[in-house]
Amino acid sequence: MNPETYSLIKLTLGVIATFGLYSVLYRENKFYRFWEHVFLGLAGGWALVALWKETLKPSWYDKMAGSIPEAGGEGTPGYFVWAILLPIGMMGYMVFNKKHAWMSRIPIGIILGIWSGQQLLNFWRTYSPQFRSSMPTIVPTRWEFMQPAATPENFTDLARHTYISEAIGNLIAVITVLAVLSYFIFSIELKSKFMQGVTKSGRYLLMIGFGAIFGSTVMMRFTLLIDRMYFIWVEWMSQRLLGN
Amino acid sequence: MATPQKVPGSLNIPREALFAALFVVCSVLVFVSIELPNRVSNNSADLYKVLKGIDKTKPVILQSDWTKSTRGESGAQFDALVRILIRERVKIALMSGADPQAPEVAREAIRRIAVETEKVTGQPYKQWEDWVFIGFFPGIEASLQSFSSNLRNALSANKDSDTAGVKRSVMESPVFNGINRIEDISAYIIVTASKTSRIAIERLSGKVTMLGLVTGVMGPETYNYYQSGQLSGLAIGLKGAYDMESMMAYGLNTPDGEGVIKVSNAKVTDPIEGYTGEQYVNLANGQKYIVPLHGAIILLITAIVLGNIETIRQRRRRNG
Repeated sequence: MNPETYSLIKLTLGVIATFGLYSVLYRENKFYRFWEHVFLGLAGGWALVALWKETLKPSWYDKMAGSIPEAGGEGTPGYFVWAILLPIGMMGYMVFNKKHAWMSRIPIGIILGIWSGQQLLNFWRTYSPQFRSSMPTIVPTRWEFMQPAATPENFTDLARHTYISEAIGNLIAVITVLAVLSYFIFSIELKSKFMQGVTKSGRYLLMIGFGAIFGSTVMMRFTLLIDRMYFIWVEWMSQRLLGN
Repeated sequence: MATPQKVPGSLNIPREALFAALFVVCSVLVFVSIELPNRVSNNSADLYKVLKGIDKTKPVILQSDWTKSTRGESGAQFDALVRILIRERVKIALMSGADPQAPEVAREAIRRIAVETEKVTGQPYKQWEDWVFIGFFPGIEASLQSFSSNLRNALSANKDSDTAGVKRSVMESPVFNGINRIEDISAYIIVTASKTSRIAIERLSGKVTMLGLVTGVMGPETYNYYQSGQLSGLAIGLKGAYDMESMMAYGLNTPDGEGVIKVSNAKVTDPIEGYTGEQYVNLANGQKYIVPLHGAIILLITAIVLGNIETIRQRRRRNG
């Protein structure tokens, strides 16, 4: 088939699939169901092939079986000790058999053990810089309200100092961290009016945070729709069908 | 989903009408090609600064974990990023760790941009010599842990085709010349629509310069890592893509021929050049999608305002 024709057919199917999948916004229908199943089938089939070609074959099978020399390349010896991984991996599927389900705990235990050991260091590596950044300077070291415009001469000096506006921003951040943390004190009853006010403000601050996250999420969903509309009206209709 | 009961005398805008309005707005505005004024975010400016100042003698590892489903955001970011890396002649070691479709999507994008750049510069950007695919790692936690311990050992068994089409160890590629440890690379860049950026930060943070390009959904939680310095630069969502494209088109804090600085930032104050040659593609999907995004947001705000007005009206009517 002519590559141009093939490409046009491929794009047209993409357009029909897009309309099919969005048709659920009107109501549940068979056209949507059809394209949903096509999508799931394609994704599943692709995943199987990709897992074998991109992962299992190069990372496990080729190491186990070795390879014969290709033109200009070198062969590699096989190490059959890699075959041990197969029965260990297969044990995971024993979870479907009541009598032998205990076997599935062996690979799960290995994975959990490795993961738990890694987490000790990972936790510190992930959160220690964030602990530090949650405790910024709240006392200004320069008594000018705003940071002046940077020049090549004062660039390093600016970074060393905290200006009043920056200190206020840092203070808000510190208060937010403390208020939000206080909201999660569930072990003791907070009777003081002050602490009740702090936890309440923590709840409101959390809600503001969730609102910001929701706004960002909505923008992303819009962008995905815009991309699909661009695909249909510009890439398919305008550029391919009308040749603009 | 249950259909809300119609109240006599109220607006009663059906859900389908709102969806239809959204489709119309997004469809019409994709044809409107105007440049909206843009104030570049600090995180995007830092990202651009790091990319422009990157050590070109060492490769970057580019973890691409997005697929066509987030092409609107991640695709625009990835294109801008790869355009910068190829124009700067930085070698790329490409990998994926989240979705089996991700490697092919990324490879296709690199090949397309390599051809596009060659038309301008005349310099080819070849697979194996300039960029290499180092693998798809479904168990990304364990893989990154082994990268962190010994990069050469972790990758020596992974193969890619050389220029003659022969499969060879990726560590034999010119991309990895003189590279043995993760500390030897110039940056670890992750383009993702999921939490894989966090997994990478957990294992590699502090060992190598890390940069992130994430979707709007992942933006708020990834921003913490930028604030704490674990990510040296960050692009978030479509705004991040548009920021990058704007800086590529006009430079950052760089005056044009008439002495006007079109794109500036308060945090990154040193001037950083863009790619001002007319043949370069700078403003791409980030710029094309930002106008419809504004239209969609205005529609959303209008719907919220109308909904609130209607709620107040109904409450007043109930209370007499």
